Amino acid sequence: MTFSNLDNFVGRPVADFAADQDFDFSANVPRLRVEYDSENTAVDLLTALLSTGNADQLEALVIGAWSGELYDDPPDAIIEALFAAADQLTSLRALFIGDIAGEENEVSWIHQSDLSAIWQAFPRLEVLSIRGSNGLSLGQIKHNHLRGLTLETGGLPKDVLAELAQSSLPALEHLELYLGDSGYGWDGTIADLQPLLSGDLFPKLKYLGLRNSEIADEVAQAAAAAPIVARLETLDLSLGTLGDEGAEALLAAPAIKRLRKLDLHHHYISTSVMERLKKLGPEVDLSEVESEGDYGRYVSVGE
Amino acid sequence: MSNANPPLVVIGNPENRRVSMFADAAHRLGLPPPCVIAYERLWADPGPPGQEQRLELTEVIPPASLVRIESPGENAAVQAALIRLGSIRRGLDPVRTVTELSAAAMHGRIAGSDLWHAGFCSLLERLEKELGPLGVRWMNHPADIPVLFDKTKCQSLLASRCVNVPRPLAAADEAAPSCFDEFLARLDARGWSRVFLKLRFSSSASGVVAFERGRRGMQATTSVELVRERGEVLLFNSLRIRRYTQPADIAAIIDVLCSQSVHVEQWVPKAAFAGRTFDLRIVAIGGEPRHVVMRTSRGPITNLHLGNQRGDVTGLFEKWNAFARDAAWSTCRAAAVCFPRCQYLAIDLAVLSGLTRHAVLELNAFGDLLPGITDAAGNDTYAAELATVLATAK
Repeated sequence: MTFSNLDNFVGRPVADFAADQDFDFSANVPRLRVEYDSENTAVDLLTALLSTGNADQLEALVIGAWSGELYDDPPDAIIEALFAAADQLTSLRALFIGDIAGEENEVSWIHQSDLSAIWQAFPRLEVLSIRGSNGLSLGQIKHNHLRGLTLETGGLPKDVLAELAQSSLPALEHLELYLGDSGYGWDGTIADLQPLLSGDLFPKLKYLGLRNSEIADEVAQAAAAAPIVARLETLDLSLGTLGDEGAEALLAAPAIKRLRKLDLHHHYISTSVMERLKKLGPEVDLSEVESEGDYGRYVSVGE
Repeated sequence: MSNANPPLVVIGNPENRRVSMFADAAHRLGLPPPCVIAYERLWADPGPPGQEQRLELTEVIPPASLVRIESPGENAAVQAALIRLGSIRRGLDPVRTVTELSAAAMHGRIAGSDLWHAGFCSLLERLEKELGPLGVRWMNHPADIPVLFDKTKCQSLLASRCVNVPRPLAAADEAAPSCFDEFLARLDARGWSRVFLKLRFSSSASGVVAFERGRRGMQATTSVELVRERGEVLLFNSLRIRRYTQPADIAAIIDVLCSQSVHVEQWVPKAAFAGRTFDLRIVAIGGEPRHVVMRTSRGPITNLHLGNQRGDVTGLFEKWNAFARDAAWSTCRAAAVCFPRCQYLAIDLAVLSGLTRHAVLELNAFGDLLPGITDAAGNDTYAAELATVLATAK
């Protein structure tokens, strides 16, 4: 798969915001997206948005392609402008940074930014989603209201996992990480995930997604034994290279049986093991059965 | 409609389903079966000396026929013959060229696409010259087909008529890049990072490369398979989309493609629907968009024979703003108007991210093979084309 532009964000339709057109803020989440052939920037769009008089009502915002030619261009300017506008965006609860489609830029090539200041700039934020991980830093993550955090990447750097390992997110219910492929930026090992699995963090966590991993069997084995699973409703190990080895570990773990949902779609599990998984207890998504071709197993994002 | 209808003639490869599907359509409309002239019969048989046979078109084609020129593709002998004709046109040694290229082409190698086009031009000129005096009517005029097969010329014509097309790398008075280094330098000069590079003279996604570069390197997504054999770089058409990330591989591919003439244009970001990138193949008949296929893929190349899938056009139409769709359909009509002597045209239309803008990616002279796709009246492309042509003839 490749990423496409969001149709919906936090349950509401997303529509591109244009400086010179009326925008239905009650129906749609605005996306600041610069056309591929435009000379404008996302900062221009934000300035226009702030001048509509709706800024203090705005609950959700999506930042898409921040310039026409993205390949050399980190989002520093739009991030800076966004943080500077925090005192106007007083209702903002949900933010997506980097809704960039594969047709606009490869996910593994998207430049991100130092977002350390976000936690103080938006203390009421509840949902943060980020696509792309080059140059991404989340700094010292301390936030009392964040319920959902999603990092969509071609490969998640272990430095970001280390920041998460030091985080304080007492309200977090949804943590979704695209771990990815070592060809696209994943440089970690299972040890880098252990702090997230220990149960010491995220007391309210209901959904844990460790998706699109090239070491999905190891991830499944670690998750099967992880204390945190006891508090989850959903464990999502989809989009990766999961095979029988990881699936057997899941089958053997009592905590996995008590989940409401186990999402394994896009996998390499054999038919007989799939049959056993179906009887395990949770709703199990086993769609997108992949087969190993000449080049072995692939994660879904990055094919 | 039988009495006043002209005799039907198809010039094509008789073994190809394009020809049989057209004949089926004629049958369904109650028309007599078309006279099928095989491309292979249009050349002297190189067999025993003194027994060469060349078909005299004027002897087999009735005056005032309605003539349909079909694709000469998927037939190795015809391909070799066209390359031979092209090498004669270009003043090259035909025997050597054919020996070198046609064997290669038969094995799926990308070779001689420019000579093939030159040969096809020669053949079409001959058809026009020999059949014109018979007072035939063309479904698509032989003088227009070479333009439709020349991506640079065709896109430039469309742009000059205010049809939205992706911006070309080369300006109208500028040559295409002749090698990879020049290609990169030209991208630098434009400040572009994402382009499609296509063989200027080809079809069916042969030699198409979606090229992108970033700080972390470069990438080419393509139907081309690169093979290095005894120090030689060979390119093959493949049914599997590959991704090359090594600059040396990408340079090797693009160098070979450039040697056969390329068309390079900006990569317009195509919209996604239901999580898949798509474009539309629209067949315009008598200037009017009639048959639509949504081609969806996980990557940048959407051609259906490359493992991609048809998408849910109805679902798209429900979501697509009616004004944006009207604008896209107007663009299709404007594109068709550029070729008033063609009764049907296949238009590849990109709908851009955001579902408001659009651009014509390509026109195809033989892009109407859309099995199972019918228009509002229940006609497939062939029947709709025939019915439209015959209705306007009266």
